[in-house]
Amino acid sequence: MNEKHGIVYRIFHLHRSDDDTMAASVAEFFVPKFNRWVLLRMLAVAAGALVVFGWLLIPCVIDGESMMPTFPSSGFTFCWTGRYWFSSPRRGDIVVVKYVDKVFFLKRIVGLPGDVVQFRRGRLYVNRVRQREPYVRYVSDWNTKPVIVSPGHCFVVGDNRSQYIERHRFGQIRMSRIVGAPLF
Amino acid sequence: MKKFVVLLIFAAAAGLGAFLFLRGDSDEARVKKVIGRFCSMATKREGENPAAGALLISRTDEIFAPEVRIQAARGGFDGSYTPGRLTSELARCRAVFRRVAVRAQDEEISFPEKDKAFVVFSGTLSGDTKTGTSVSEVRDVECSLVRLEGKWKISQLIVHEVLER
Repeated sequence: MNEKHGIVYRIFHLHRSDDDTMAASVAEFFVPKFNRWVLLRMLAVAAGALVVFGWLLIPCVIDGESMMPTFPSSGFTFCWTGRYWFSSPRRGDIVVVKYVDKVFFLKRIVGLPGDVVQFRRGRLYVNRVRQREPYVRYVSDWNTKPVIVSPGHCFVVGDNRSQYIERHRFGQIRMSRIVGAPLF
Repeated sequence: MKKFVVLLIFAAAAGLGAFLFLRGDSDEARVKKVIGRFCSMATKREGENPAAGALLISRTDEIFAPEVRIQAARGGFDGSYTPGRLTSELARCRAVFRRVAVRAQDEEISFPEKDKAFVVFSGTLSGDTKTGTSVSEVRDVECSLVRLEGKWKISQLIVHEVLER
């Protein structure tokens, strides 16, 4: 910047109103002059975002009808990975299950190790006791053989049981596949 | 200040080197290496030289025990295998594909007894068959290993569906 521009700049700053000053501060906050501290701040923000959105709150796009009507067929949520740091998964919990790389399943736990899980005419039975499932709204005609949940596993299923049983992915999964729970 | 930065970088490099050296020598790392070798034997790159492929899978005796039990939910592989028979089975499977990649992820390694290891991992297979069909499969694999003459070798493979009904 030459001397002439410098004078104009100074005059402009002397005569502008409080609103202008505030706007300039905001602009400087978002588009600051590049220096060592700005670089450090950018690195800290990038590292923070990497940790938060890479490990703690994993962004997930919902694509599928298996959890309807609890979750819409398309939408967005975060997987909160800290959900089971200090507790174990329980029956009725909605969990995010890792399938492969960046593909996760959103399912509800209905059986824990040792439980006997069965569907009869669309009704869920755990240890031969019919379960109350207010979150299941659609009519189902599923019939399955009783399954004893293996140690270290849990039985997961979606809330939308109106789908054809062949099309719906459900069954026992390794507990270690549970990544966390949806944030909302 | 510059001296301090140089010292810090040197210390970090030395620490990383020591970590990698010690880690590379652990039983856990050796077991992981065996699983990795198994995956690379099953993997076939596009346009692979047939002789190189044959040479790669001829070394099954280096990672498999003299008798290997295989139990799979699908595919008709159940039974006992010798390393020689595994070589021919691998060759048969690889011949179906134009390109196939096999990977082991999320390995959980435990040592239930002396000279015995147990690994659970997520096995992924993706590739294209020679008829043009794309294949992408994921399975949970339970793998037992035994230490024979100081080397870890696979003695059992049990393959499960990820969601088992």
